[in-house]
Amino acid sequence: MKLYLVRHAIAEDGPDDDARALTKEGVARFRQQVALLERLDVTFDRVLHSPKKRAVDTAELLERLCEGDFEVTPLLATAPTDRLLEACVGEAVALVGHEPHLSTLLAWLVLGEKVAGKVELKKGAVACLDGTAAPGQMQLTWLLPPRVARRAGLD
Amino acid sequence: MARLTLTPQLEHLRASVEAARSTLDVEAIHQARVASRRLRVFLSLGDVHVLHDDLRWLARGLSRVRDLDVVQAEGLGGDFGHWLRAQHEAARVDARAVLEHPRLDGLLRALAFVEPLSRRQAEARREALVDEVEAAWGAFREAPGHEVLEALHRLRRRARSARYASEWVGAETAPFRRLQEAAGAACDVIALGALVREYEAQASVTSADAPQLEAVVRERLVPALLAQAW
Repeated sequence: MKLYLVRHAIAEDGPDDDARALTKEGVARFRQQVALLERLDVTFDRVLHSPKKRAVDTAELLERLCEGDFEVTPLLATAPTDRLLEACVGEAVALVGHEPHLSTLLAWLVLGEKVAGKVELKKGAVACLDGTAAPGQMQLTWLLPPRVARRAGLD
Repeated sequence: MARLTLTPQLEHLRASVEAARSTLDVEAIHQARVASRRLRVFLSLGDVHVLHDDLRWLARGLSRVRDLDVVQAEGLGGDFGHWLRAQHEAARVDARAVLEHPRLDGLLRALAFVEPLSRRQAEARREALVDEVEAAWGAFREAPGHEVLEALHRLRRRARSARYASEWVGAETAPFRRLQEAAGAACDVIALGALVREYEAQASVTSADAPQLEAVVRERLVPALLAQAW
């Protein structure tokens, strides 16, 4: 399977972490990222996302790439667990979440160890993994920081 | 112009889920299902795509227990009645699994931060939903015999969406409610037919009941609906 790890786009600051919305800049930049993903023929048959508003809003922007269902899960708002891996069912699944959980998940899937900080995932970045959603069973195929789409001038 | 917020229905959903979790009360389960459908329509009015599938998952996960409750209210006896009661109990257990699923907690958490809707946008979208009722009604009237039941289901869904959309914007709901209820009565009979077939398959018995129920819908309920509801 292909697993796409998507860090939420740039969000406002605020006292209630669940309530932080994307900024206008965050929306505009992530739209560029979506346009680039579209050019790369990326599509998802499922999009799982965290319930925090900035992840919900980021998932919404992926709508035109999603050919199947969206699913909200609190498992993406915490450190990665076996239960999250069990939820990764499909051929092309996107997980929209937060740091440091996403880079920890990436390391877990690729290296077999839950370690943070081995990969930098900027806000709005997308990492593509290929393989089986189990510890150490995936390969990092590519990683797309948001500045690539920005420099390509995509809208 | 004032903006529309989903807060009242979200509160209703929360309260219903809480009651259903603690008691598995069938009315609380029903209310949770209805609230989830109203919230889906709210998202449609705002052209929001996320959380739709979660609300549909919730409504579907709670639907069987409600369907069986409606049929059980008829007080059917015999082996079929006994089978219905067993199915009802199993459906309540399945409903508990849905009510305790982390997806539902995520859904309630995410719904709290859905943006209020512009009334103008909601009203424009409601008009489109009303047009869809007209189209579904036309398709139902024109449907050939073998497609009439499917057209009936579609009509019921469209009427329900238009009714809930009208509730959200404060427009008149009565015509859509009448249509939804009339179509719903026919659909309940179809659902009973489906349960009879399921029972027959599991119990390895056959009867003439299922085809007769569908004939009742085609020959009596559909003409009555065509004559009165819309």
